[in-house]
Amino acid sequence: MRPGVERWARVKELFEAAVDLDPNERTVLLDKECGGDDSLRGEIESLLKSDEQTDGFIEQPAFAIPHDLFPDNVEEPFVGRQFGAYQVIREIGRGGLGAVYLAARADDEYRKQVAIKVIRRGLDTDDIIRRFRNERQILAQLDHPNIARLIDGGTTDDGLPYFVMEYVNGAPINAYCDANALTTTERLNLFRKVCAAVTYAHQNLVIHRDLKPSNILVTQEGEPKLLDFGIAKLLSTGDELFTQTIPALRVMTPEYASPEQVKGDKIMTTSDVYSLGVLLYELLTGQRPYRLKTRTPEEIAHAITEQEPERPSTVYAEHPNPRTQNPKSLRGDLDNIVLMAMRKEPARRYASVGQFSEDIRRHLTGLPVLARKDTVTYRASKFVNRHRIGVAAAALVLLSLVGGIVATLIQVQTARRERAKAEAISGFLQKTLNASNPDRNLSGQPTVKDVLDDASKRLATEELSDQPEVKAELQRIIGESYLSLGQYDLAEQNLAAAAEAQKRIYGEDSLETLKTLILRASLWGGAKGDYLKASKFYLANLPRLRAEQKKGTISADYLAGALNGFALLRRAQGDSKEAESLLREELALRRYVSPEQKNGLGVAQAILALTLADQGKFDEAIKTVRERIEAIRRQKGDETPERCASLTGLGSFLIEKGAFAEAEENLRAAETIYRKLYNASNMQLGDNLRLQAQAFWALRQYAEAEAKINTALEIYRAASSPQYVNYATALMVQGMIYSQTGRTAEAEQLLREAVRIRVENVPETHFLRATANGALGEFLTTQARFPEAEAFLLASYQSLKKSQAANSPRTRLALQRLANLYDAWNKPDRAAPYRALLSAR
Amino acid sequence: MLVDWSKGDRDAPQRLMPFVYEELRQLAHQYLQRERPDHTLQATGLVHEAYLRLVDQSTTTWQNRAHFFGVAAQVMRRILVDYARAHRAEKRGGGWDKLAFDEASTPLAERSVDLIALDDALKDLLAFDPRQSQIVELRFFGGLTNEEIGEVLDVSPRTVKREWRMAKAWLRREIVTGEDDAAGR
Repeated sequence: MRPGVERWARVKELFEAAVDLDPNERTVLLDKECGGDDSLRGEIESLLKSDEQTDGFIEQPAFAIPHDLFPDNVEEPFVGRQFGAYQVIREIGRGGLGAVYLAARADDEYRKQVAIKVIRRGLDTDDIIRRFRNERQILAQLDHPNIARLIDGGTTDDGLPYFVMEYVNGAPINAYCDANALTTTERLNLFRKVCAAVTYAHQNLVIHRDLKPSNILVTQEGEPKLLDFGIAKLLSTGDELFTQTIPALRVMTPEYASPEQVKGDKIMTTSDVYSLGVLLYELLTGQRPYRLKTRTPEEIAHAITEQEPERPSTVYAEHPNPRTQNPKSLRGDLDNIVLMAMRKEPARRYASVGQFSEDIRRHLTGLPVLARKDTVTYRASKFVNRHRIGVAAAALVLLSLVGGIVATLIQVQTARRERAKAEAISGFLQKTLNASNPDRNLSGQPTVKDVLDDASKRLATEELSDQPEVKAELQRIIGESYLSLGQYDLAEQNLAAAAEAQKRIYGEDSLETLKTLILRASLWGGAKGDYLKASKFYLANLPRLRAEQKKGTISADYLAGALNGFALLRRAQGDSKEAESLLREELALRRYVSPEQKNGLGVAQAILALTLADQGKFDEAIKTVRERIEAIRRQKGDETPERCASLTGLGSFLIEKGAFAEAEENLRAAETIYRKLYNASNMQLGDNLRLQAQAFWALRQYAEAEAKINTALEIYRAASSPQYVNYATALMVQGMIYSQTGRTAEAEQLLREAVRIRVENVPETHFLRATANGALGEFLTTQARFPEAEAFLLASYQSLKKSQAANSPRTRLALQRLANLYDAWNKPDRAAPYRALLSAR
Repeated sequence: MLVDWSKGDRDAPQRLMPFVYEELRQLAHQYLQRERPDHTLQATGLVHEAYLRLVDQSTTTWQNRAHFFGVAAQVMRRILVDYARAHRAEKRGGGWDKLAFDEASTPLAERSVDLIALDDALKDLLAFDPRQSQIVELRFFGGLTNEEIGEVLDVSPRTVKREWRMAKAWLRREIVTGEDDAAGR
């Protein structure tokens, strides 16, 4: 249909006016502009509809599309040729590695048809021939009615390997479902047959790794057949080549690839769970899960690792598929099932394809399903911070832990034994949950700690000793959970037991053992204060962890965790410069993480801000923490512990910069949220109040300052932790306030106590010692005890000169205090050089 | 000659074709044989490479980079569509025959565009909106960016973007209609 020039100009004008409007505005515009011209209106509406559906249409240049746009010089070289007993009839397919031909037995009166796959001439490099042979070997192992059978294999006269497979005369599964207008239930039953075939492959130690519709054909009899184990991977680690991770996008069909494949992390049977999830999504909705604009590999990779797919029922409502029925049935169970299979973290998916398929069966028979909305788990993990949760949430937290165990174990165990382990784990889990039943708990509110206590106690006995790998893994996970609850002794107990067992099972230098030791090192370096032991561990193992991560044998998370632990240690040791560089390395690793793992990213960012502040780089620190606050608002909302912590951090940096009023504002905002989230004895609330006291002191509002610092100190003392790094700071602040309000004797006592604590607890070069010395020196100046003051102030300045960046406000403060001292002492010649340094800055 | 083309002389490129065609064909062949998985980069790479070679050989003919790209896109279109025609005639396999074995398939490979239908639709579009038709040719067949297209057609990249969007919607509708919407998604 060719519109006239004038007509087209009008269509164009209206299309461009309407295209960026929302549906209601469009209707208004078209009502007004088209008048009664229905054909004009129809034309524009159909273009607008088409615009919404373009979705990648001709978006990539033509050259990016076909593989074989230009005919090879040698065309169809094999047609008519004989391969063993088979004669090639015609080419039926062609891929990156080779071509597939339809052939028939030359001597067979029934002319049984087969597919012959031959490697492509020119591609017969050693590496590819190895891959090709691998596929042949894998196929030879598999004998299942829903997997295309390998019939024969060999090498051509001129050395090209080929193999003969069952010829599947069928349609890709999605096309089949649509062509036969299968109902949702029929689609689910067909899908479960695919699951059964994949489960069979997993039990034979084979991961498919490239599940997609074109690899799953359905015959006219309605039987699905899996094809193409070309990039399948053996679970056992016998063959060196296949323990290496192949960069996923090169080999995989991008949209069915799992996040771990895209990231180049370890691929597990749960990667197939993910791809099957995408497939089911497509079968149920007729749509792929990610809305893509440009379809470049970068965009697809980003979508797979970051974008949360819309719920199938929502998508279906927007683009109803006329070929399926019963759209309402997607809401609820099926939404949850599909999205559970497609979770970004392998550990939070179904632990196996069998479990996935079983959940579908449960749905079909009206039983409750395992899958829950992601938000419930997410909320549960948020509650963990508050230590008090209900049984259901505790169960979910544990379930997701258990998923992780099964997934991890698959790497080290054969898939055949998977079921025994899964059963062992679920039995253990069941007992744990029964034990924490609210009826048996006086408060009626079992906490996560209750659940963990019970689990860890039972593991300390003989329980699960017939499954030592499972037991060790559980102990590691329980140890890690204790660590995050701040239960350090219990964490150490469990981690030590796990490490011991893993050393025995896998060896001292095994990655499994190392992963547990990373957690222990963070404990040594953190709560236990055993800096030497921790730092030895990091120095000895970081190079290896970096190398393993590069090879893909451990995920980026582990390396990031170790870098984080080492950074915290270095910071505690007073080397914030090295801490900064470690954190930057960590942040680079955490760039591609899913929303749930953004915690790690946020923590690293927050610590980076602190290390910048340590070095006196307050502008950078403030910038970093402001970015973090914005990110938290976007991801988690306004009233969250993370936001309070960051606002408090911002307040502390602003105080050091001298922006007291602004500091007080941010701190007060944080205090309001803290009081809603925590009880009144929370240490972080204490920190916040202490900082407010500091700001009020600087603003000369001593009454407010005193009230805040008294509460802060009460909180610290109630927690009875005089080693707590900010306790000494709080004493200093109280001393500074008293010195202004005439309580000088008490002030001196407080300030000297602060210095004493610092000397005992932080290294000589640490800025915290220098700030305590500085505060005492300043006090002594006001008391006209000049020689004493001079000693403290000089020590403070000399130390800060070394630890601080060039323009640190801390150093400026130290210079200022020295200049003030000499002025008060009436030694202007000695004050002069410090004043000169001050004005030079 | 190139200046003429930019002013609408559709015959100018025809006279240049033989030079460009052979060069591009050879390059394209080399590229495809390398079997690199990152095809996306190649379309532009290809045209740019051809340009460099040809410019080196005959600086007098190719005075303007933008104009070269315009011609090259037209040539690419012809090469690709010719090939698609030849291939269609040769392969009468039926829809499900094309198994994707081991395919390092680019995303579009699974729902590739019918180049012949697109070519026909573009011819229709040329009749009442030559600029949109040219934009699609430059972008889809030539692999040029909106900025480069703006340079060739002497319009702003924003105009290119706007026209491209509508052209896409129109072309998609034309191609899908009559195909029982099986490819539409």
